[in-house]
Amino acid sequence: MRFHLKVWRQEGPEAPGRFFDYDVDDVIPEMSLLEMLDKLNEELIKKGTPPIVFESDCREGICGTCGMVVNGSAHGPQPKTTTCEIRMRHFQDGETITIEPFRAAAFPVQKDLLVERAGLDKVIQAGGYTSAYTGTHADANAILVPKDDQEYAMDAAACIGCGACVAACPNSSAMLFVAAKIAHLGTLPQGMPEEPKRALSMTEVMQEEGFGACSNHFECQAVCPKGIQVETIARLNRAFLKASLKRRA
Amino acid sequence: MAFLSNPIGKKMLMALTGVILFLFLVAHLLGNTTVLGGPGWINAYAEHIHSAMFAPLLWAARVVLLACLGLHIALGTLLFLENTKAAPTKGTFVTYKEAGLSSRTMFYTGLLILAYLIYHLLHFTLHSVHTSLSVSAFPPDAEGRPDLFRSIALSFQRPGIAGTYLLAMAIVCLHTFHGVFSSLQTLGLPGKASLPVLKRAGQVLATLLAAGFALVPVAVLTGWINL
Ligand code: HEM
Ligand code: SF4
Ligand code: FES
Repeated sequence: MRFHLKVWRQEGPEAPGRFFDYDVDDVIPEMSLLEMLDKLNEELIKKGTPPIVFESDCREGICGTCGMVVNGSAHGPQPKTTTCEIRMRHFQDGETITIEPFRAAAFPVQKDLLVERAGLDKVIQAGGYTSAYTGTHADANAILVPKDDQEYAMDAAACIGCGACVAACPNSSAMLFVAAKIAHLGTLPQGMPEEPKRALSMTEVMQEEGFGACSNHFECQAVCPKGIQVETIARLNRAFLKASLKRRA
Repeated sequence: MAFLSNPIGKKMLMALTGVILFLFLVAHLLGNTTVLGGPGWINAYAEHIHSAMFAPLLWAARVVLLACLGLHIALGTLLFLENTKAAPTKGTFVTYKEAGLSSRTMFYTGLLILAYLIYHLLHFTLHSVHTSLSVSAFPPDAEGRPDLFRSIALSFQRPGIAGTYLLAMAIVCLHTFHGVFSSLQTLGLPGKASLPVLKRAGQVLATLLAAGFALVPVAVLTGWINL
């Protein structure tokens, strides 16, 4: 297969960026999008051009580092798929593919497709601890958790912190990310006691780190590679309200 | 204050004031349907709500609504500015998947509603525009009440005025099409199963409300309501 790429390139955080055009030939349909970029980078290096900078680690959809905007969608047009999992057979032979970094004031571009996502780490830090015992691990069934709660917490825990929800949100809000963490920890006995504190602090730090507020556009849900649902945001809103009333009292 | 400095807190007050404004619109629409019953009904209704008995209630409602409107506009503007700052650009090729025209234009439709609201109050409440069509320009009706029916009918017989009202209702529809469900979501109401149902219900409710308001100018234009 062959593709025409329009790739956003930018020298540094302050430098103006723009799209560069590249042609890639002999792409194997089974290649992932990142492997196609690897191939292009090897060709660029041979030509003495600096390679395109992008992040990746696991390349199997579990670490959350590889996000980029492909053809106008965070993580590309394939639903519930990370950028590293997109296969080139999903595109038309000869297609023009545009690749841009995630865009948000809270995710400043460092170079080319690489963005700084430390804001999400700050939000996680603001979440604090869970009251679990340390030391030798507890018996597997020492604390019984209803099946539905297990499932619900597990679905929310699938969030890999990739930031696609922020990139897709017209307000660059991190609400789906925060909601996933709150739903995951607050549904389990170990995380439940700190839920009120967590709901207040994580959303406050979310704002401090430059993420917007939620207008319920639901673009996040459409791009989330792990299928996190906006229903978790309603749950977060309830948790916030309860915590605020408690703080008053 | 901590509540209002939190992004969810701001949205919750936004949602609460929005719901109150929407409930006012529902009550207002119920009042308006009396126009369809002819001069006897609407004039009696208008005389009623302006009577001494209802005056304190009317003023209380006005104060609450004005406060809600002020908060709604102030918070809406603040959120709009903050959100624009958080997202100066979303890239060169943006494709929207779930966000519709309604959710993406909330601030602008809000501003247009404000402009319409001012015009509407100048027209029917303060009688400072279209003075030749205001109730004070007409003799009382057969029962000696202010002839609001005549004022409404003659106003909407002018295509320009009727058109403006119809356009305004389209904009109110656009604003509440997202707004009704959005406020329920912000207030934390939906669960997994009810979320899609509530979303659809909000859209239907918004459309019905705007259609209900549009009925009066349409009825006059088509001659269904006549003097
Ligand atoms: C009678 C008139 C109005 C009604 C019934 C109404 C209703 C609503 C409702 C129900 C919401 C949803 C709240 C939420 O998303 O949680 C909303 C949002 C909004 N309204 Fe209004 N509204 C009215 C007038 C206005 C005006 C005059 C403005 C002027 C700026 C305005 C600006 C906004 C904005 C910007 C939002 C979205 C906030 C966000 O999601 O970030 N609205 N409105
Ligand atoms: S909620 Fe989904 S899109 Fe957002 S960070 Fe988690 S996995 Fe990524
Ligand atoms: S590289 Fe780990 S999720 Fe894509």
